[in-house]
Amino acid sequence: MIALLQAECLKLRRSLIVLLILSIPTMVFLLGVAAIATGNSTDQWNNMAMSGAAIWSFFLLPMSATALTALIAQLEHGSRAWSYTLALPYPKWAVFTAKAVIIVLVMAVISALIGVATIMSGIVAGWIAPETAMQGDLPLALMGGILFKMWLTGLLVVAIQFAVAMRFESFAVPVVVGIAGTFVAVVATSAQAGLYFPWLMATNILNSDPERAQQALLMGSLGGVLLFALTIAWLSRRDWH
Amino acid sequence: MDLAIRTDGLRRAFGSVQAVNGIDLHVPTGSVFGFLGPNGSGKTTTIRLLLGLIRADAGSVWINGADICTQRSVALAKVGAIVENPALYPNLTGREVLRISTVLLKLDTSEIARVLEIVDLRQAADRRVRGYSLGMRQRLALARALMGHPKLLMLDEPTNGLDPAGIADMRRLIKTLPEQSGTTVFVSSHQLSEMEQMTDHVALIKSGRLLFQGRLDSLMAQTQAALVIDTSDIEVALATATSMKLDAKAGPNGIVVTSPIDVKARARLITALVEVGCSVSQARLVEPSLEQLFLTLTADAQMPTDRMETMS
Repeated sequence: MIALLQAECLKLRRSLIVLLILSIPTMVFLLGVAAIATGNSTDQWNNMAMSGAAIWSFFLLPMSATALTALIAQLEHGSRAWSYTLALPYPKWAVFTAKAVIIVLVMAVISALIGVATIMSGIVAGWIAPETAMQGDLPLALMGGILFKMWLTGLLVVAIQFAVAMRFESFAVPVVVGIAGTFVAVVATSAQAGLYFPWLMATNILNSDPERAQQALLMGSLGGVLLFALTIAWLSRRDWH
Repeated sequence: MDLAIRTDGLRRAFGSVQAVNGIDLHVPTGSVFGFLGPNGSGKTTTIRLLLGLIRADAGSVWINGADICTQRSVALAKVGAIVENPALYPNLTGREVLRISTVLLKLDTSEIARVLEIVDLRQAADRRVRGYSLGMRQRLALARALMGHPKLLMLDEPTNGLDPAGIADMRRLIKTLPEQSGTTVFVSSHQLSEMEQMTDHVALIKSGRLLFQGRLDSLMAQTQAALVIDTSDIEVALATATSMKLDAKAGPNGIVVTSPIDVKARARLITALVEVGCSVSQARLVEPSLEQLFLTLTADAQMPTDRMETMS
């Protein structure tokens, strides 16, 4: 498995992976600075942390999952490299598991960078416009806890995007699924049943009702692990041309 | 006989199309085995079944004595393959593509230099694959397939995209591999003249069925050389041959006698032609090429089973 993980990392060299990992936290940072420095944001660190996490979970997490899974799948689809990768002396499930592990780890890295970007935006905005400086203690534990829970809850959306991206050769299919899921999430934000929609589960971590937040965490994380397992079993059994 | 590849009753259909229809393939260890057939005959599907990329509807596959379904890692441990297209990563350099294989196959990095040298790609090794020509990609894919000294090399149309010099190099390499490293080479192609020059065993496939498998020389021995007689009086010559109960047809410069004909009968025919006033400028025996033979075999609706050479 270590060799497969190492090989997956080597395949990503000079791909768009670095751009993907850095661009989303950079967006959060720039948006945060602009909002705070222009006086259009809270001056409380805790509220700032929640705002950053909300933007991430609502829109950027599903979009990151879409782009990341499509990128990793396209490395094989685009060059029709499955015929090499899956003819290696490794079980097919191990090949797909390695890809899933890399995707989940990269999502963790992006999540951590979102936390850094959110906090840095508050600090930098305070330097630019001292009157907007954040009040209170740095919300490191709060931010870390929320983002960790969102990462776990987001596993279901990541697993859905993984299944679609690996199955379909066309780049367009996972992108359409990702955009459609995010769009429906926007429309269904306040719906009671929104809790059960995978694209809204991570956002529900911020729900004021702790029970709903807990439900979202369980459904997203356990559902994600289960769907990853089913997808890997299915991909290992299907034909590869 | 040791077999590098053995299949029993291998079948695979795609919808109503039976792509592979009961193939019993026996590839002797240490051979250069040509797997020949027209486009769409089932060659690539068979290779995918051999590598476990697709599942068989029925039948079994053993690679180097290991079952591809139940002992997949053992079966593929010493197999290098190129299936259809050189499957490479365009964002990486040639050297980086090979580096991935050293990691996956747990090989020393010195293996990269060795295989680059074999395929003569050292100069371009640090360029991105995106900028490679098809021929260079094919050579890089071959280099990757050669990593770790495979016991079995499966090459699907390996000369695609190669220039004449590249084809000659590929042919030379394939021919020397069994002797140099004991590698069995299983090579599919529809370029029959190419295969004739590099293989010692062949299997002919059409519409998913094997028409023949065995030694190339035994296949060629089953065929009849044609007597070609150059003459300007084609009609008279045809009538004379027919009157002697010989099958003959008009050729570009004379007639072609396709019936079995021994030395005496040949002499009698030529004498008869001269006696009726045909000006015979040349008479020669022409051995059929593999290509002609293949066309003959594939034209038959059903190949008699006695043409299948016993391999084991």
